[in-house]
Amino acid sequence: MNNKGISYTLSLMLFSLVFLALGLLFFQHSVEVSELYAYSSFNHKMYETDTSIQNMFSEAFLINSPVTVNTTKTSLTVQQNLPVNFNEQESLMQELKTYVENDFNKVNISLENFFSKHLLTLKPYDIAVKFEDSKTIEIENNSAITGYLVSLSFSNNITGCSINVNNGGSLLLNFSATSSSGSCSGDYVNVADANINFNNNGNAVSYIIDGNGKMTFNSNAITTSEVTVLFTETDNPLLEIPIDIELVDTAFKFSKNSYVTFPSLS
Amino acid sequence: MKHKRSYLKFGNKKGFILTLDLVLGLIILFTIFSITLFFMSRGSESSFGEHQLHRVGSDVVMLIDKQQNLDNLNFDTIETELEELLPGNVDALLRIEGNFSQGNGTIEVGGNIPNEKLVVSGRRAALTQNQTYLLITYYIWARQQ
Repeated sequence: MNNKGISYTLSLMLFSLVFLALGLLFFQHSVEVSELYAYSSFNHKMYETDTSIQNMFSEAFLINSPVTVNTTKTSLTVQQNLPVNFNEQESLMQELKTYVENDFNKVNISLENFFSKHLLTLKPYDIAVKFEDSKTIEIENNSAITGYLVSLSFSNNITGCSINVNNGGSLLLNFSATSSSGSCSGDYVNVADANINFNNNGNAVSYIIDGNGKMTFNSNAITTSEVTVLFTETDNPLLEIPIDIELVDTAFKFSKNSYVTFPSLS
Repeated sequence: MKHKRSYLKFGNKKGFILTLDLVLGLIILFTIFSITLFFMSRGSESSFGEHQLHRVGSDVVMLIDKQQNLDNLNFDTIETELEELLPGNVDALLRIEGNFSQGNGTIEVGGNIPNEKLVVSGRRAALTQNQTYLLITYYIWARQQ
């Protein structure tokens, strides 16, 4: 009789403990699920903030830029009047930075790199088009680059055209500078390096591909220029501008830094 | 001797005590079980709904922006687009703020925020074609079935 009672009590205790453990498990699970959703919602909010700001800056870049950018799967074209004046664009970017930092307290935006470099990078190859100053465009050597198409238009006369192109490389170069009087043009394949110089109304213009593959175009004359970089085909070329967006939330120990990146196919 | 007295005293009530013990035990167990089930269901359902609402709101506002319906800041255009894009079981309110003349810089499009419902909100930055900065705050909730 006594053994039966003990067994009965022990069974009931075991049964209770199993239920209690199950209950605690459910409770713990519900807390974890809640935390998971809270974190997921937070991440989505951060993602939304980041993408909307990136999208806004990319639109500002494309709408209000002295440089027109066109991209295909195999080329990137930048069109601009030299000397380039970035003042209006910089002013808009600064204004947007102020608005965003006021409205989103977890966001810090740095425009320093954008203002100093005026760099445009084509992803995934990291082909960097840089406006070194208002008169100079530079494109660093990149193994994905297959050639350059350069078209320049001047209102004044072109004089003293000097073209020096060496073969032995793999680049294609089509260079064309035209004016109402005089031109300086050439079409080359297997280019290793090139040095093209001429004058326009007394102002020196130079186009150089150095031995390392770096391209530098400098014009002291006023010109409408179009520089196309040809590269190995890619399905999804993206453009990146060095506007640094930083999102920080100490409560969630969250931190993210990103440059403004956007799809670029025309 | 002492044991015998105890046995005599409680012997006839043993069944009752055991039953009482069982009933009390079960009540405590089921109470714990119910409470935990309640927390579990509350935790998963409400958060999941909140998360889904947030995603819907975010997608709808992004589409309205991408389709350039915010460029003219026209109330009717935005309202039509909002009604078209929102799923049937949810309602939303968009508050668009910026440095523009319409509505002294604030436009509100959509339904009225309910007092006794779960309302999820989010914010996006946007830019119109004429370079006006916009702060879009959206509120979204499940519609009364």
